[in-house]
Amino acid sequence: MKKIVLTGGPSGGKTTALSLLQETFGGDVAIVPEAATLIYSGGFPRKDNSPIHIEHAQNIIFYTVHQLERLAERTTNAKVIICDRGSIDGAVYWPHGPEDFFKAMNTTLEAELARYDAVLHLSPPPKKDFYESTHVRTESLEQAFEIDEKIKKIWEKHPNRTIIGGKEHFFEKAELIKNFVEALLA
Amino acid sequence: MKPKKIALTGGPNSGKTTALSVLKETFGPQVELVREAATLIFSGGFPRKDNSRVHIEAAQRIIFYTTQQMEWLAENSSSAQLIVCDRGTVDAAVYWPDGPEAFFKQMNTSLEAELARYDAVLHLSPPKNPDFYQSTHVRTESLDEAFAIDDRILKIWEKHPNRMIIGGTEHFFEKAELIKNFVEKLLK
Repeated sequence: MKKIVLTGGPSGGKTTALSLLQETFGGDVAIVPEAATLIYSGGFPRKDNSPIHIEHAQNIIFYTVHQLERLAERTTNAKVIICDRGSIDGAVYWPHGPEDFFKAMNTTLEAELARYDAVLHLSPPPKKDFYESTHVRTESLEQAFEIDEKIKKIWEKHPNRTIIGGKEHFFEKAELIKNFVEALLA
Repeated sequence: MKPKKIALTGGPNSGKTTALSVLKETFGPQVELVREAATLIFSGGFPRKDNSRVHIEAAQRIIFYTTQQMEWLAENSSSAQLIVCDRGTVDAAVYWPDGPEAFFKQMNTSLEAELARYDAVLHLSPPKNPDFYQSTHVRTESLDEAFAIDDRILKIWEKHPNRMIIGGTEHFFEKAELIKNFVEKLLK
C-alpha cells in the first residue's frame, strides 16, 4: 500500500483533484479527508485567530491527521491512500515557526516526511478569476500564494515530490495527477 | 481567580444544547461555553462509515484529544468566571468498544484524573415521553438506546463529588430553573 499526500496553497484544486481520482480509480484508492476542514467546518471557535486559538486548532489538526491516516491504513484494501494534506502542513501556520511546531508535536520534520511515499503539490491558479474562497477558506489570493510558497518550502526535502504549477489549465493538471497515481498503481 | 469549570452531560436529547443557550442568555460574559467535540468531529465529516470498531476508536481518540484542547483554549483565552463544557473528557469512555477501563489506559490517564478536571457536573437525562425525543443529523440513536447511553453516562460520572442529576421527568422549564440555580450558586 502506497500513501501519497496532496498538498499546496488554498484553491490549488486539491478537492477537485481528489474527486477526479476517486471517479477514475474507484476502489483502488482511498481518500483521507482534510482534518483542518473537518475541524473548522465542524465549528472550532476561531474567534480572532489569535496565536492561542491557532495553536489549539493546529494541535487538534495534527492529532486528527494521524488518526485519520491510521484509520484509512487499517480499514481499506485500496492500493493507494491519498491524503488531503499531510501532518507537516500544520507547521506553516504555527505562530512560532516550523521548528517550534515539530518540537511542540514531539516529532521531527524528517519523521513526518517519512510518512508519505510521494507528495503531489498543487499551486493556486495565477489568475484571480479562478480563485475561489469558501466558507472555510478565508485567505486572499496574495495570501494564498504566500501560504503556497511556505508549503513548498516545508516539503522540499521529500525525495519524491511532484509540483504542479498554477499555470496549466485544470484539465492539464488533472492529466498530470492521473498519470502520477497511475504510475504508483502500476 | 481561576474560573470554575462544569461539565454538562447526559444522554442524547436531554436538553444540553438548549440548557447551554439558556445559560449563555442568562449569564452573558460570566460564562464561556466549550463546544461538544463529538458534534464538531461528526458534523465536520469524520468518516463514520460502518461504525466499525476501528472507526469508533479513531473517533473517540480524536474526541478525547479535542475536548482537552478546547477546554485549555477556553481556560487560556477567556476571562469568564465559569466555563461550561458541553460534555467532558470522561464521556468518551462509555463509547469505547473495550469498556471504560481500557479507554483510560489507552488515553494514558485515569478516571480519577479526568473527574478532577471539573468542579461540578450537571447531568441531564432524556425525556421519558417519546413525543419529546428528537433525532438530529448527528444523533443516530433511538430512544431506548438514548436511555441505555444515559445510564452508562450516569454510572461513569458517579464518583464525582459534586454532581447534580436532573431527571427526564421534569418539564424543560423546570429543568432550566434548576440549572440556573445550580450555576448561580457556583458563581457566588
